[in-house]
Parts: sequence; C-alpha cells; structure tokens
Amino acid sequence: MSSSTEDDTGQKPEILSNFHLELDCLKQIVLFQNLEHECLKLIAIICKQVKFSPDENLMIQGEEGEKAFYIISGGITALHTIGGVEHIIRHYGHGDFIGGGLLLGKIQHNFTLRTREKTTALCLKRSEFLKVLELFPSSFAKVTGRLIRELVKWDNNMLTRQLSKQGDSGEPDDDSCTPGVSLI
Amino acid sequence: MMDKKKQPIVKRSLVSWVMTTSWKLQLLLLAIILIIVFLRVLPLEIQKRLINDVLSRKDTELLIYYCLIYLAAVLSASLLKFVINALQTHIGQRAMTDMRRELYSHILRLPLSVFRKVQPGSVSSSLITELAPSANFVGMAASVPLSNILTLAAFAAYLIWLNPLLGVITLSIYPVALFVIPLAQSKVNKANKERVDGTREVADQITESISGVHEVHAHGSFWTEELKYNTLVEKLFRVRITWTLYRYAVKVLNNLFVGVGPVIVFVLGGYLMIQGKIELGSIVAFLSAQEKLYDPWKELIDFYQVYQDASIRYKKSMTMFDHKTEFLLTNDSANLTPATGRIEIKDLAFSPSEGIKLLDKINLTVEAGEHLALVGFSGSGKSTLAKCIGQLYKCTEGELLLDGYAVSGLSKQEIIQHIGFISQSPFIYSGTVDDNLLYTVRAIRDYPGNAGEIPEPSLDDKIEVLQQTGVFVDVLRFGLNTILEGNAYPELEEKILRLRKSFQNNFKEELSEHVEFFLEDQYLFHSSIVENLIFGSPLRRDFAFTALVDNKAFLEFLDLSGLRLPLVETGAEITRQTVDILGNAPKEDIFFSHTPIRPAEYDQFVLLADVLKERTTVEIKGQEARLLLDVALRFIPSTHKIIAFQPLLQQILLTGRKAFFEWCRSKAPGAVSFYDETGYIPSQSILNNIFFGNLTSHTTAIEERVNQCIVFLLVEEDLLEQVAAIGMNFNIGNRGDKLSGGQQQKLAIARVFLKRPKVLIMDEATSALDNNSQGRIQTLVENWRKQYTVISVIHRLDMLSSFDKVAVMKEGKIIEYGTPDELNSKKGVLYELIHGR
Repeated sequence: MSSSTEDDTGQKPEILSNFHLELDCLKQIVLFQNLEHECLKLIAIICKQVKFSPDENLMIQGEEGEKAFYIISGGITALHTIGGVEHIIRHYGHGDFIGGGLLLGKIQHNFTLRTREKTTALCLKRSEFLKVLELFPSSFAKVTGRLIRELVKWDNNMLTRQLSKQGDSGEPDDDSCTPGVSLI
Repeated sequence: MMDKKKQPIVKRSLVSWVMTTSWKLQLLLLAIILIIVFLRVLPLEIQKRLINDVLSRKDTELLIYYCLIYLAAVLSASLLKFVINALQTHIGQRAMTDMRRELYSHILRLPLSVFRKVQPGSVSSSLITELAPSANFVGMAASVPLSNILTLAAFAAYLIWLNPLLGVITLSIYPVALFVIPLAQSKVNKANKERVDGTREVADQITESISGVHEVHAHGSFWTEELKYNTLVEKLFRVRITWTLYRYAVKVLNNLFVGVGPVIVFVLGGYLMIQGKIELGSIVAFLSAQEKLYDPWKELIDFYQVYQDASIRYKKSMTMFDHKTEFLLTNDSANLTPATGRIEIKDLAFSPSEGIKLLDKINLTVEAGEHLALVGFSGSGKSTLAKCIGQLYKCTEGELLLDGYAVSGLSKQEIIQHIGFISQSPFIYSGTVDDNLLYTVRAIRDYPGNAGEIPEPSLDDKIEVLQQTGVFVDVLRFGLNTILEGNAYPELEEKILRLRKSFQNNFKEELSEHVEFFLEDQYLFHSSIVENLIFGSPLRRDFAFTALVDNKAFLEFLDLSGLRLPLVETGAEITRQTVDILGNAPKEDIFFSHTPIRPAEYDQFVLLADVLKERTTVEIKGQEARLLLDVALRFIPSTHKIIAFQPLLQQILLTGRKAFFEWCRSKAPGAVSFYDETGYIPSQSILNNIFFGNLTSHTTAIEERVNQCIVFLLVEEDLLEQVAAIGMNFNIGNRGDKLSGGQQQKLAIARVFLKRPKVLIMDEATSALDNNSQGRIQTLVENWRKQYTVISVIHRLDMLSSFDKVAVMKEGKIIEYGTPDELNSKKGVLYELIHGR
C-alpha cells in the first residue's frame, strides 16, 4: 500500500473527503497511536459516521456491546443504574472516544450511553476492527499495549483519589468504591 | 411410509446395484453387443479375402464389394459403440443418483453422536467424490465384460479356425497374464485403500481448521494448523506416488504380454509360410487379429481396475455410515394424539460412550402446562437433559415418558408434532424468510401421508408469530425495501401512491430532516450519479442504469453536454483513492462498502491506477475509459466517502439533469419515466415511493419512528399484510448471512412457535437477544402457562419468577428442585447462584 493519503505532498483536494476527515479523527485516538498508517487507513474505511437524535441510547447497561464511538459533534452522557435509579457518571463531547475496550473482546456494558443532543459519531464495529488487525499482525499487540497503559493510568488516578479521600486517618471510607466506568 | 424390509444402503454390495438396473436396457445392451462382436470379426475375414481372392483374381468389382462391406462393418460398429456408451452412461448415472439419494437419506437420520466423529467434509466427499467411480462401474458392469469377453472369444475362435497351432500358441499368453496381473493389482488395491483414508484425513483436517478459523485467528495458531495439514498432505503425497506407480506397473505388465503376441506370429507364422503350410492372407489376418485383441483385453483390464477402485471407495463410504438410527421415523400405530404435554423422568442416565456419564439419576415430573427452568453451572448437563427430552439424544438408562409413552419408543413423526426445540445457536437456511419460517411446519407436512392432514399456516398465523418474536418490523422493512418487479402489482402501486399523499399530509414535516426528497432542482446525495442524471426510471432495457455505459446514444449525450470528461475524471479519482487506501486488502465487502468499486472488479482497477500514473484522463480511451465512466456513474456521495464530492461537479450534474430531460424527450422518447410526484417510480423501493425520496438516517431511534409512521400508513390503507408478505419473500442470503444474530435467533424461535407444539424446549434460546427482546419473548411464553409445557434452559436468573418449577443441576444431577420461592427461601445452591456467593 502506498501512503499518498499522508499529508506529505501538500496536494490534497480542495475539499477533504469524509475518509480523510475521519482518518484525522482516528489519529487523535490514544488507542490507535503507534499503529501503522496503512492499518489506520483501513480502520478509517470500515468506520461509519452516524447521526443520532437526542435521547438515543448508544450503549445499554447490562447488554453486550460491539461498537466503539468517537464523538465528532454533540454530547453524550454515561449513566449507571442502581436499584432502578439512573446516576450520571460523566459527560462526553467532541473528541472523546468511548468503548475502545470492547473492540478487543466481548464485554457487557456497565453503563448506559445516551445522547444529550443531536450527535454525530464515528462508529467502529468489533468484528470489522478485528478483521483489519488480522491483516497487520503487530497491530494487535500495539493496541493491547496502549489499552493496558491507559488502564494503569486510570488505576493510578483511582488510587491517588482514594488515598486523598482517606486523608490522614489512613482508614478507607465505606463509600470509597464507586461504580466504575470504562474511560477508554 | 418407509419400507421396513428394505435393506439399508450401507449393507448393500456394489454388485447389487448392477442387479437393480433396468432389465430392458440390459437386454438391449446384450443384443447390441452380439451385433458388435460380429461386426468386429467381419473385417478380419474381409481382409483375408481381399488378399487371397481379390488380389490373385485382380477382380475390381469384387474389390469394391468387399471394401464396401468392410466400411459398413466399421461404421456400424462405431455407431453401435456410441449407443453402448450412451446406455452405460444412463445406467451408471441413474445408479449413482440412487446411491447418493439413499445414502444421504440414511446419513440425515443417523444419531447426532455419529456427527461428533464424522466431519461434514467427509460426508460431502463420500457423497460426491467417492461414489463417482461406483457409477462408472455400474454403468460398465454388464456391457464391458460381456462385449470384450465375447470379442476375445470370437477372435480366438477365428484365429484357431485359421491355424489351430499358431492360434493356440498365440493365445497361451493370456492365461499367464490372468494369473500375474491380479497379483500386481492387489498391491494397487492396498495403496488405494490408504489413499482413500489419506484423502479423507486431509478433508477432515481442512473442515476442522476452516470451521474453527476464528479460533485460529484468535490464538494466532496459523503455524500449528499448517503443521497438522502439511503432515497429512505429505503422507498423502507418498501414498499417491505408491498407488500411481503400482497402477502404471499393472499397465506395463499388460502391455508386455500383449506385445509378445506379434513376435510369436512372426517366428512361428513365418516358419509355417516358408514351409507352405499357411497363406499370406492368413498371416496378415493373424497379425491384424493379434493387434485387435489388444483393445478388448485392455478394456477388460481397465474394467478390472475400475471395479477394484470403485469397490474400495464404496466399501469405505458405506462402512463410515454403517450405524443404526436411534428412533423410529414413522409409526403405523401412532397413539400420541392429542398430546397433553406431561413429562415424567425416572432414574434417567445418559452416557454417550462407556465411562462417561453426562446425566445420572434424573427424576423429574413436569405436569401438562407447567413451566420448568433448568439452571446450573456450565457443563452441569442442562442442555443434555433438554436434548434427551426433545429426542435429540437417546437416554441410556431409566425412563423418559411423554404422556405416559416412552419418548424412545415414539416415532420422529409424533415427536415433531408435539415437541418444539429451539437451540442456543439455531441454524438458518439459505432461502427466503418464508422458507425458514415454514421450516418446522413443512417438516411435518413432508412426512409421507401428512400433507393433506396438516394445513399450511395462513399469512395471519405467520404474521402473528413474527410479531410475537419481535422480528415483524424487520420483515416489514424487507418488504418496504423491495423494488416491485414489472407491472405485477398495479393495485398495490396505486395504494402506495395514496400512501405517499397520506405521508405528505401527516409526517412529511416531522421526518423531512431524515428524508431526501426527489426534487427536480436539488442534488440527491443518497443516490448515484446516474440516478441523479436520469432522475427517473428506465423503461427501455438499453436505458437501464447498468446498460447506459454501453449505450452509444447516451454516450453521445454525455459528450454533447460536456459531462463525459468530468465523469471520467471522477472515476479516475475514485480509482486512485480506492487503490491507495485498500492496497492489498482482502476482497471482502466490508472494505468496499465506501467505494463504488466492487471487490470482484478490484484487480482491473489496480491495473488502471498504474495506467493513470502515466496518462491523463484525456489520453485514456476504450475499455479503460469505459471502466472509469462506469464507476463514476455508480458513485453515491453519502456512501462512498473515499473522495470528496466537489460542488462544481454537483452543479454540472444538476445542469446535466435538465439537459438529459430535453435530450431524452427529443432523441429517446419513452426511454425513461421521469420522477413525478403523482406517479409510481418502478426503479425505486416501496419505501422510497412512499417518501418520494430516500431515507437518510439509519439510527435505531429514527428507524423506530419511521416504522411507526409507515405502519400507521400501511394499516390505514390496509396494506400491512401485503407488504409483510413481500418482506417474507426477501432472500436472507447464504445461511441467513443478511440477517443479524438477533434476527436469526428470533426467526428460529418464530418457526417453532408457528407449529404450536404442546411441549416447548428452549435451550438458552434467547441468549443472543437484547434485554427488551428477551423480556418480550419471556412475557409471551409466560402467558402460555397451563396451555403449553415449557422446559427452558436459562442463563438469566432474574427470569426465574415466571417459572412454576426450577431444577438446579450440577455434574449431571439435579441437586435442587422446587418452586422458585421454595428454593429461594431454602437459601441453597440456587440462592448462591442468584446472589453470587
């Protein structure tokens, strides 16, 4: 594969194709950093841009998911339901990438992901993503490596936050274990 | 009804197939063979007479007379040989078709345990490849040995009549050959057996690796699988070499024996002629006959080899499937009518093979109409028990009774009418939605004698189960996405036009954001360039969208309107970008969904991309220019994201649309029916006709809202059933690959619901569905309490409250049994499973 889609010639068309715009979005995703350019091009070709209405569920707590989302515009909220009551975990917006972990294996969502407003997102399906990784044998290790780094970073943040909550007493609070949400 | 006295195919000998061929055909063959034998000997006598009589008398008239007889004999023999071959082919192919049919019928009815050992590859290899030589043999079995032995005998008699001494000595080689050749053939047979086994091993290995290819990719075990395959292929290589060498050795031996014959004639015949004891014509006839002996002899040897080969392959195939069916297929004294659905299990055990007990001491009673949940740890035997009840497995100990009758004694015909089984991973067959929906009912109707008694489900019945299982909306969508063929539905088209008006009055405003309407002065981003240009439906074949690229008049229009060059340039840009992005990616649909270039034509475009590096689009002519134009005409801006759709091109095409309208009216009137808000558009789907546009958003929420609107409109116009019926004819692809996993599962549930079985067995039947769909089906089944007995293997323990009884299983035994409340308050194993402690 050549690499003429790379920005090295300075001869891009007047208006960029959606493919090129989406490729630029994918380059921002931490999980895909270090991936070969040819691999990233194929990931860009398989992902689909979808426009969601407000209040649409992109993921449902308890169900098995197979799609990850990169938010191009709009806003999304992650909600966790306990005892029938929905708790807002956090809000996502332009540039956020959600569900990277489930691109590598079957995971039950531990939160619901719902649009707050009209949202445009890039959707990436696990089965198709894995098909691309199969073509680039080293890419699987690269994505997994990135995922683990993010998990460790997330774990450290949690640890720091918990220690700061305990303060000088050194005793853990009873409510220190808050429901977890995949942030990658 | 099956003939119970009929010998199973696996017990039949290969020769028995020869006996069952048509006697009339065999007698006809015999008659032709006798004529051929005479016609083969006649030229020898003519040859002798030509030399001895005609040449000595120098009689021209006699010369012509003998030559004509010679020619007639040769021509007639050739013609009759063709007739023999035709008859052989008919007899052989008939026998092979019967063999394949009977063996397939036998294999389908074998116990499931057989298929744990036999790979699908072996089944198809046996049915397709291994039986082919048997057909060859059966076709030849009567005619080849008979005609060739008679020919040999006739030649032998003629030779002895010519000169007894020379004849006997010449023919003495053949008894020696008859002794030596079978010895060599025994070596060929041994190698052939190894070859058949080796081929089967390779086929099984391929089937195993390809069936589990997702595991291979998941674990990266490419080299492990290759090693297994390569070892077997190498072994097969050695076996095939040995087999081929032995076969050639037999041929060489045979040629050697035949080759020695003329030497004897030269030596002994020459001596006798010098002595004046034999004429020259007789020597020539002798040599000629000697040569002609070779053909029947060779055919006999070939036949012998075909027989040996066919016999080995036939025996191997039949031995592989030499198992008995576990259950009766039909029962003349069927007594289970009507069934109530009461199930009683006493001390049931199931051992698939000695030393392994998957179920043990199962005692259970499910009253008619009661709902039982089977729960437990993985591998506890829940599915195995469900399969025993559904007569998929035969229990090895104890009793399993349905309405007091032993399930093992009931025929399959009775079981399928009263028990419905839904598995976790149901198989969906290639064909339409309707084919799959009717699968279980057709299975009952296809039983001999059943067709008249079991009615075909009505459209209402089918729609009801589709709605119950939640797949109706999908089927409706298939119907709405259908392009109606020809003028087969004039009334429907009229109603759709009324729907269009109704849609515009009721929903146009609400959905306008998600529909791209067919407006004359607006570009359609969800339609192809050709659709944008034509802005109508082709009425003539040469104006079909796919044919326009070869339509000279249309090409002239493109030149006239200055459209050809920008389109070819667009095609060139598509080609460059596609080849750059995809490179050597596999030619699979997922990589080609955003380019108008199709996987099958990609290689041509790779070459074209190279050409484009050296030549400008103006310089490109002929087939290459045609390809570029074709791909540009297929370009859909909203789908094909590989290139940017430049505003300038958009403007040019909109101008082109107007120009085409004018051009078409003057140069090709009647070729296109232009989009008109008051007329039906034959080239568009039903849905697009209702909208008079394309749906642009495809998210779940939008589709749900669209469905609601469309269902409202269809009900209003009383079209819901008709469109659903059209949707049921949607072809779901190879093994249902056009359906999602959830849609496949729902269809599998619907097909069992359709036959309304008295006992419903659900083996984790809803596990592939989302929470809503699972809930919907569970609620439906719950409503069937007291009417239908339900045994359900479940993984979602929050559903337990809707069951009358729960059986908790562990290591093949029931360790807890009772109502959900009883077991919960007991705080035993079920409680632990639910609360995860």
